[in-house]
Amino acid sequence: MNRFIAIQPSRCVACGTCRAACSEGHKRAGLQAEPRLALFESRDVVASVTCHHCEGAPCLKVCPVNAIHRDDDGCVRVDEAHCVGCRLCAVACPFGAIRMAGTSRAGVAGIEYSTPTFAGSLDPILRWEVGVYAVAVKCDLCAYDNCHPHCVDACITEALRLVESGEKAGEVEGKRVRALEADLVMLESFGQGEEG
Amino acid sequence: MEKHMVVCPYCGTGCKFNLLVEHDLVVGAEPLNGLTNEGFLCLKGWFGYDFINDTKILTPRVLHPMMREGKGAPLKRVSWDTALDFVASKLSAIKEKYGPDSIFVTGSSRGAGNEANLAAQRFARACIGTNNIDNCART
Amino acid sequence: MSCGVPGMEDAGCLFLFGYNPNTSHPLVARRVVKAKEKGAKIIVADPRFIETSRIADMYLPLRNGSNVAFLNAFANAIVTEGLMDEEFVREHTLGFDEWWQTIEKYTPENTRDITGIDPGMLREAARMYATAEPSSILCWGMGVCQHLQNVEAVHTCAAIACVSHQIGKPNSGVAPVRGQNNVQGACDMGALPNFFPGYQKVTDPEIRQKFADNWNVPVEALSGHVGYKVSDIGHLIDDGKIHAFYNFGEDPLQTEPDALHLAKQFERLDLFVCQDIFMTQTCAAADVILPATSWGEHEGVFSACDRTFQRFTAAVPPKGECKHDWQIFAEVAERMGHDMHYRDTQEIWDKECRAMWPGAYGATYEKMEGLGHAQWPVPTLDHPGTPDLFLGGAFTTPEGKAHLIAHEYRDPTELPDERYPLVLCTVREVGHYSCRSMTGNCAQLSNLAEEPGYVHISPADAAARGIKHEDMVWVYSRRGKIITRAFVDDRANEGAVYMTYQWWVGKCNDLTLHHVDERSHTPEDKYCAVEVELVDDQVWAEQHAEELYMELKGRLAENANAQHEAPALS
Repeated sequence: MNRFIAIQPSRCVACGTCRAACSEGHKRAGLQAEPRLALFESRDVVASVTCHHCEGAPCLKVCPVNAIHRDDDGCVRVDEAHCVGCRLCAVACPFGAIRMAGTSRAGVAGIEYSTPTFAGSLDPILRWEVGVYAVAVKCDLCAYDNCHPHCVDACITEALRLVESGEKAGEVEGKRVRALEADLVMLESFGQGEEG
Repeated sequence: MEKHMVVCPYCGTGCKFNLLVEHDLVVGAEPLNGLTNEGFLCLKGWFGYDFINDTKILTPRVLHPMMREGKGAPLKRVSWDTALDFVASKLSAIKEKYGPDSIFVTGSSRGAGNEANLAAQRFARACIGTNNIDNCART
Repeated sequence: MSCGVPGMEDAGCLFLFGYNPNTSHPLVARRVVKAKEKGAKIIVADPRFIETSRIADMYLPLRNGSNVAFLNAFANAIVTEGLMDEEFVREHTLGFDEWWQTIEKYTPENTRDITGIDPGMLREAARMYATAEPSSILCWGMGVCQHLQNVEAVHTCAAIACVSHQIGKPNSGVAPVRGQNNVQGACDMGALPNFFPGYQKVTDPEIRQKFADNWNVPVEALSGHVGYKVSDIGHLIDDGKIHAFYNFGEDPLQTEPDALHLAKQFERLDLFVCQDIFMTQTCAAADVILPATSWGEHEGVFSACDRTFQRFTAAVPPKGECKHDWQIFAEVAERMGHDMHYRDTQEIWDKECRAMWPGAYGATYEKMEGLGHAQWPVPTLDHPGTPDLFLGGAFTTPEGKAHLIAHEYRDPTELPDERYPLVLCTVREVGHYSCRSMTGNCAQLSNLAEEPGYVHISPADAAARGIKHEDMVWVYSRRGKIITRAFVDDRANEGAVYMTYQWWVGKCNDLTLHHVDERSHTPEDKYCAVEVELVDDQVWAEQHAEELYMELKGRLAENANAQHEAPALS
C-alpha cells in the first residue's frame, strides 16, 4: 500500500498553514519542530513539497544505521532517536524532502543566543551549528497521531490531501480523461485554423 | 478544558474560533464555523494565541503601571493611583497652558475592540475637548 | 467594502489592484480560489508577480508608482471600448463630463511609457472587468493607499466601478480590504479626527449637540474643527503644536516611516503616555506606561473588513494589574472632571454606539451571541444586516448619486537615481502581523519566521550586485541603513525590492520616506529610493544581526524588569 500527501497547486495560496500545523504537531509529540513540508514558490508554481514515500526509497537504502524503515502502512519513517545525523539520506533524496534539524542551545542557561558560524546562503545540508545534534526529519504522515496528517486538516483551500491506494486509480483515470479532452480541444482548434 | 469564543485579532477577515484554556493558560485554538472562515483558520489563527501567556519570546508583557521620575530617568513601577493621578494632572496642565488641541490621543485598530475605541474617542472629545484622535488606519 | 467577504466567491470577476490577499488575508485568498473554481475571471494588476497572479486570467505588471496613470487609462478604455453603462451613469452619477475631460487624455496607448502595460492587454482587461456577469469586484489594499496619489487612485477606482455599473448590485463594487483586525472598527467607532462614531461629522453642529447631550457636557466643550492625523505627529511635535501624546495600543516607532527621526521627535513631548500590552519600542520611550488587558483577557465587538460586527469573549482573567482599556480611559477622565463610568462593554456598546449611530442600532449583543453577527448598516432590531451597499445605485451622498472625480497623474516623490537606484516597496508576509509584538511572542510563528527578515530582490538585480539567495545584505536610503537577508525572488520585478515592516533588525521603516499625501495624510510607504549591497563577510553579518537583535530584546526586557520591583510606599 502506498500513501502520500498530494497537492493541487492551483488551489494552494502559499499561506504556510500546513507547515505551521506540521511543526506544531511534531513538536507537541516531542519530535523535532522543523516542518516536514517545504513551500516551493516560483513564478509559475507554488506547492508544498514533502516525502513521496517512494517504493524504492533511496533514503532507506543508504541509511547506515537502519534508522529509516518502512512501516506496514507503506510509510517511510525516520527514527529520530537512532539517526546519527550523517546526512546521507538528505543527499540521496531526489525530492529534497529530508531536512536536518536539531535543538539549538540558544536560550539555554549561559548561552543567550546562537553564534552562527556559516553564511545563511550555505546549503542546509552542509550547515553545522556548535553543540547542535542535527537529525534527519521527514514526513511520517503524523504517525504520532494515528496517521492523521495535520497539514491536510489545516489546509484552508483543501489543496492538500492524503492519497491512499484505494482512490488513486480514479485520480489517474481522471487525469487521462482531462488530457484527452485537452488534446481534442487542441485538435479542433487546429482543424478550424486550417479550414479558415 | 474550557473553550471561549473569540474573533481573530490579526487581519480584518474576522475569523471565529475557540481559545482552549487550561488553568488560566491558553493552550490551543479550534476553528468555528464563522461567517467568513467557515471552519478554517490560517496559521496566525491556529498558532497566534500564546503571546497572551507572556512567553517573553520577543518582549515581555507590561503587567504593572510604570513611570519615569523625569525625562531620561529609568522606568519605575508605581501604583495605579500614582500613574493615573500623574497622567490626569499633567494632561490638565497641558490643556490649560497650550489648549486642548495640543493633546493627541490614538484609538487602536488592533485587539482592543470597538468599546475601547468608543471610550478613547469620548475621552479625547468630551474630556479633553479635541478631535485629535486617530488610529493607524494608514499603516 | 461595499460587498461582503463571502459574496466574493459569487462574483463573475475579481480585479485585484495593489492587493495581495495571500499574505494579508489568507481566508480571503481562499474565496478568490473558490471564485476561480466557480468560473470567475481573475485580473491582477501589481508590479510584483503576487501569488494570485498564478491563477489569474490576466496579469498586468504595472510599474511601481504608476497607479493613477494606469487607472485613468483603464477608465478611458471602458469608455472608448463602449463598455460604459450610459443609463447607470446618467441616473446614478454626477460630473461625468468634467471627469471625462481628464480621463480622455489618458489612453492605454499614451500611458504605456508610464505604466509599462501593453495597450491591447489593458483594453482586454477593461473588457473582462466591465462585461463580467453577474458582477465584478474591484479589490485593493495598501498598494493603492500607501502611495502619494492614494485618494486620487481610490476616486478613480470608484469611478471605474460606477461607469461600468459594477457597483450597486449584489457581490459587486469596491473592496478596499482593511488590513488590521479592527481598523474598520476603530474608524466605525470614531477614532478619526473628522468623525464621531458612525461617520457623523464633527463639523456638524446638530451632531455635536447630540453627542454633547449624550455625554452630559455643554456643546461648547466639543471641538467643531477637524483634528490632526496621527501620521503627522512628528511634524506637529516639531512645530510645537502637540505637547502630549496619549498612545493607545499602537507601536509607531516600528510601524511609521522614518522611525529614527520619529524617536527623536517623541523625546520633545511634555508628556508621552503609552497604554499597551507589551513593552514595545514605543513603550520603552514613554514617560508613563499603563498596562492594559490583551485580546483573550477582555471582551467586546470587532468590525471585520466587510463591516461585520462580531463579538469576542474573554478567555482568561487579566494578568498582573492590567485593566481594560475602557476602564483606564474612564479613570483618567474621572480625575479630569469628566464622568464616563461604565459597568461593562455592553453598556458602552449600547450607550455610545447603538444609541448614537442609527446604522448600528440593530446590532445588539444578543444578535451577536455565539456565531451571530451584524453587518452594518443594520438600523432595526429585526434587520438582517447589509452585505451589499448602494443596491440599485442608491448612493449615500446628499444627491443620492455617485460623484465621478478624476485626477492628473503625478510621479512619486523620491524617484530612484544613480546612488539609490532601486524602489523600496513595503509589503506584508503571512506569518506575522503588524509590529510583531503579538505574533513575535508566539512560539510557532516566531519559529517559522525570525529576524532579520528578508528583502525580496529580482534575480537580475541580485546578480548585478553579486548577491545570492539568503545572503546578508545592507539596504540603505537617504534616511538610514539596515542589515537584512536577501530573498532572490523571480516574482519581484527588476528595479524594485520588497520588505515587510515587522522586523526590528531588518527594519524597513528606518529607510522609508516620511512623506504624506495632502488629503488623507497617509505615508508613501510603497515608494522610496534605496540601494542594496552585499555584506563582504557573511559570517560576521550573521553574527552581527544576531547581536543586534539580542541587544534590542535585552534593552526592552530591562525596561520591563522594573515592573517586578514593588513601588516604594509614598
